[in-house]
Formats: sequence, C-alpha cells, structure tokens
Amino acid sequence: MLALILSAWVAACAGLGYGLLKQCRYPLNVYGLLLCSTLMLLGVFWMFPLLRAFLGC
Amino acid sequence: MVNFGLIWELTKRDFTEQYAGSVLGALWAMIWPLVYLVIYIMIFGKLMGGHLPGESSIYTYGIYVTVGLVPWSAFSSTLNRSCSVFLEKKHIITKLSTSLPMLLVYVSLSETITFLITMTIFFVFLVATGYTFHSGLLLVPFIFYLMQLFAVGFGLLMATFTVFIRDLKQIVGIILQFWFWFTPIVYVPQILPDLVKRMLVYNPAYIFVQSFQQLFVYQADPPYRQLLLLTVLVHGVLVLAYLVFRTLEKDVRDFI
Repeated sequence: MLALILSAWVAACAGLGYGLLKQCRYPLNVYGLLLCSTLMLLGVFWMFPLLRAFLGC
Repeated sequence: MVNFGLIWELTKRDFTEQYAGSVLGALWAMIWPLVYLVIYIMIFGKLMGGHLPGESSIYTYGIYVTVGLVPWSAFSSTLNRSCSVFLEKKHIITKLSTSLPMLLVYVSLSETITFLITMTIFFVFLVATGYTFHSGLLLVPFIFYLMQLFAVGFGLLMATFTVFIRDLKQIVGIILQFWFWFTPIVYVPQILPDLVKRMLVYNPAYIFVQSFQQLFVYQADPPYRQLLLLTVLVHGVLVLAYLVFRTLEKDVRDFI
C-alpha cells in the first residue's frame, strides 16, 4: 500500500515537474515550480518516516 | 526570460573569480573548508575539550558545531549577498533581458557548491573516524534545499527593498549576527533560559540546524512536523517575495 502511494506521489511530482519545465513560460513557471517544490518536500517529509518504519531501517 | 545559461555562467565565474590569479587556484576551494573543519573539530572539540552533555566521544562536539555552522554559513552568505545582487549586477540587468529573481539563484548555487565541497570533506572525516551512517542522512539534501529556498525567498524581499534603501544590506548583516547567536549552533539549547528556549520553536534557522544536529550527532529523526510547517512557510515567503518584486519590478529596474 505504501509503495503504491509512494509510486503515485513520485509519478505525480515527476509529471507536474516535467509539464511545468516543458512550458517554462515566465512568470507562470515560477509559481508552478514553487508548487512542485512544495509538493516534493511535503511528500518527502511526510513519507520518509513512514518509509523508514516500513522498511525497518 | 529565464536564462539558465547566464545563471550557470555567473555561478562559475563567481566561484572561479575568488581564486583567480592565485598559484593554487581552485584548490583553495578545498583548502578553506578543510581549515574550517580542522578548527571546528580539532580545536573546538579536541584541544578546547568541548563536549556535549551525555556524549563521551572527543569528536562529538566538533561534529555538532560543524553540522550547524556549515549550513548556517551557506544560508547567511546567500542571504547577505542576495541583498545587493541587483545593484552589483546592474551592468548585466541593464544590457540583457533577464529575470531578476533568477540572479538570486546564482548566489545560492555558488554557496551550495562551497557547502558541497565542505560536506564532502566532512564525510571523508566521518568515514575515517568510523562514524556509523544511517538512512536518515538521506534527508540532508532536502533540508539544505529548504534552507536555501528560505534564504532565496528572504533574500529576494531584501534585494528588492535594498534597491530603494541601501542601508538594508548593513541592517541584514547585523540581524544575521544576532540571529546566529540566538540559534544554538556553537552551544547547546539546554543552557538557555526557559523563556528563550520556548521561543526557539519560532526560529526557523533553529529548526534547520536542529534537524542537522539530530541526524548527524544524535542519529535521531529530525522534527518532521516542524519541517512540514516550515515547507509551507518557506514557499509562502517565496510567493510573497515574488509578488512584492513583481509589484515593484518596474521601479526596481528604473532605480538601478
């Protein structure tokens, strides 16, 4: 379940990041990149402890 | 337009210009961090006998100081240098059509390179002293990234206002000095009075530094909840700084 959530999150972030970088239109990309950055960090700080506990490392 | 080529060129030049003309050249970029690490670890930890409560290793205090000071140096240098970046690069701004906020990225990148060199040497030291690495250390790049984002956001606000109020750079320098001493980097938070200790949770720099200290020194988890809150806060600061800049952009370009 955790792996599924993590995969979905990674795919969502990668898709969002790719889409925003691809268009790279100023100033839209600034807000887009910030949104992507927020999601990435929220995901990392939220998932990391769960992942460590899940993997037992 | 966002000119990534220009940002990278400025970063490279900023880094190489510091050692241009010297015999050892870019080697100085490795010598300086090495000197700092020797001072932090050997002088503070070993010769001065600094130690942390409940820790017996002679290197623990040195590691504690290093993992606080190295990210703090990157953060404070980025913030301090960001204040005057529009004024210093006015020859580029007036000649090339470039996104001004992206100029702050080159300052941050340059400081990140210094951070990476120092941390590489630090990791070599840790390996040599038989330090036990753990998976929590994988968070270090993310915490550092968030810290630098904070410096860029705050720096963009300051850079915008410094164009109109030139004294701001000096004021930021003074604030950074107080901020450094109000953040437990070279001392432990336990020695602080209760009132100051309670206020530490409102100091974003402490959350960052505490995260590094928890990961490296105590091999424990960083304060995840505070990091999550800080993620939202830092991006909020960035959006606010960008909105302020966009409002004042025309005046900023006219003034410089």
